[in-house]
Amino acid sequence: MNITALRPSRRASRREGNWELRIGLGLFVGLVLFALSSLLPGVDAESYGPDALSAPSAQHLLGTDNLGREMTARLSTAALGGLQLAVVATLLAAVVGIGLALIAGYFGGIWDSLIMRATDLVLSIPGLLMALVIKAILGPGTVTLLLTMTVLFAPVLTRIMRGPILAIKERGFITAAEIAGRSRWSIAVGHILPNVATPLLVTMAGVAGQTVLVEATLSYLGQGVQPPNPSAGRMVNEFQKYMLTYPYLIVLPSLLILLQVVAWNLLADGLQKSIGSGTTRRRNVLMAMIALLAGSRPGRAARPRKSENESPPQRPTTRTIRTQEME
Amino acid sequence: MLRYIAGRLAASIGVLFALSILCFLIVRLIPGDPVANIVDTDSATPEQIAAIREQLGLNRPWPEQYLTWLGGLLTGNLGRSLTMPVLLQEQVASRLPVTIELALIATVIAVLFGLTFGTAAAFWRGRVPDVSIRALAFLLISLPEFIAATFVVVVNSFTLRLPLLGYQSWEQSATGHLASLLVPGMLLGLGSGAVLTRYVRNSLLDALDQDYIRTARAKGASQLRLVFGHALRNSLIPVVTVVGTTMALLIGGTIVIENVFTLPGMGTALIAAMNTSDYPAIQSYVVILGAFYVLINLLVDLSYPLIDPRVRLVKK
Repeated sequence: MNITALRPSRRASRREGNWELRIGLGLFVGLVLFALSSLLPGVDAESYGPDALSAPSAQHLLGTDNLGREMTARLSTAALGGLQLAVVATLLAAVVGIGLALIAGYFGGIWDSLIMRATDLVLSIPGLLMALVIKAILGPGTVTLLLTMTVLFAPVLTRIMRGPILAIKERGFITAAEIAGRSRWSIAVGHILPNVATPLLVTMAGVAGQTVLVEATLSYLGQGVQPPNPSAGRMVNEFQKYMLTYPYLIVLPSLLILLQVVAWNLLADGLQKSIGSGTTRRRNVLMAMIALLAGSRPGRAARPRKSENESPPQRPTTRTIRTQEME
Repeated sequence: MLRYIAGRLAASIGVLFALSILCFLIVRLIPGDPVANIVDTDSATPEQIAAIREQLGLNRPWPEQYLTWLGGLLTGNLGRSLTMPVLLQEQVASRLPVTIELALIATVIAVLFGLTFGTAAAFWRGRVPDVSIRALAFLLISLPEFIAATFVVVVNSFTLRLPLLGYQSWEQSATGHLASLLVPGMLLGLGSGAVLTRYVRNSLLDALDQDYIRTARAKGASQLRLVFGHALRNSLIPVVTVVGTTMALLIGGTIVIENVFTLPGMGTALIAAMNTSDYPAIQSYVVILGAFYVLINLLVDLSYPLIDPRVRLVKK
């Protein structure tokens, strides 16, 4: 029963279909196939050819770079490297981040405040500065990049996942498991983790997109992936010299970076739309993540909201009545 | 209220302390001998190596080194660069203004961009302007600054041929100076502007869902009046905080943009120092950029109770 005629709620957008997820998945599959093509026999990103800086042709599909190397091979190898880094770095950050979030959210107490203070501290230092500091200490390399991503993004995951974990912790089946005598770790991993899988997946897809951005930026500045390994960010930097004579050279790696980030971000938005429940769908995880990376602390914007919600008794608005009926 | 201010001040000082420790530790945590990154230890004379150790402060106990370094930071005495015959404080004095100017231009652009497009998207919710603005914002969020900047430079070099890549100091020409910073500043502001657009839109849509808007609508207020007369002001509170926090994106962004346009700011200096293992310079530049950011965040935090009276009421 609708009490008043309201404009269509955001829920209506669901009926339009989940184009984010479809486009995101399509792009992603395309990128993976392109990246895997670098593993085909005969594809060599390193060998120098006689035709330097040749335009795209039947012989050189995307042309050659300043050293006569095949751009197709260079780009697909860079795509593979980018995908690998995004996946491994995100998994590392997720393991550390969700572990800390479980300890903070479920175990609580002194651990909670300690861990949350620590994430506050890391997040209040601008990410790129942090990345440069780590690189200055460890020198360039893959290990440095992975560690950088973990330090930058594990706190983000901890922050975002702590809320859902706190909510699950209050549910009856957790108490039941506690009474049944299961250990706290087994409850945390066996009962709580599966129930926060949705926001976790969404956040991980978003984090993967951010790792691509950070890697590309660091490599562009010469502080990330080191030659001879191909990296799209580094290519943009190298090809700046040729931008007047061979502008397409700079377009190709730029497009590769953009497509990677767009694919991950669309996956995050689409996943949230398709599997998110009522509350998670309204709160855009991608935006929450960018806000966290930008150093916002929840004590700030959340505070007035909280006092608003706390004011009892809350009168159900037309919107909430209708949503309840639909579910 | 006092507790709020004291808490925020203490938190900022805590962050600054942690940042200074982190930067101080850069040289100390390098695996192996940091001197080997600067000179060839086989061919350098023992005197040269000793001089570099002295300059890095590696020959004294850690706490003493830290206090000396911190004292130098606070009194504006940053020491000498390892690789160039310059005093670091002179470098900072000439370069920090460029970075701050860039950040200011970017902030203004971001706020204008975000407010205009965010309001427009919410106003035409679900229709063509909304969909295209959201797509644009999504694209800009996914686009690294250096690609946007490179793209603009490439397109410009084939079409308008504006002189984008030359820096002019304030003394050379005031208008030339502003003109040389305008395009980099605009590009820098786009990313934050896109984030702001999404915030303004969501915040405004939340405000438009409130009961008082329904009442106003029932009284016959037009959509124009609903958005600009009632909802917009209330929706700006969360937006103000985001303006402050996007400054972090800007700190990262200035480093990148300065390098694309080769502007003589802190970012180009920092990357140059990274490439030559000029550790004293890296330490000083990171601490100063970080402190600049912490300061802005503190100001945003302190201005928050002025904007939103509800923060004043919250206890604890």
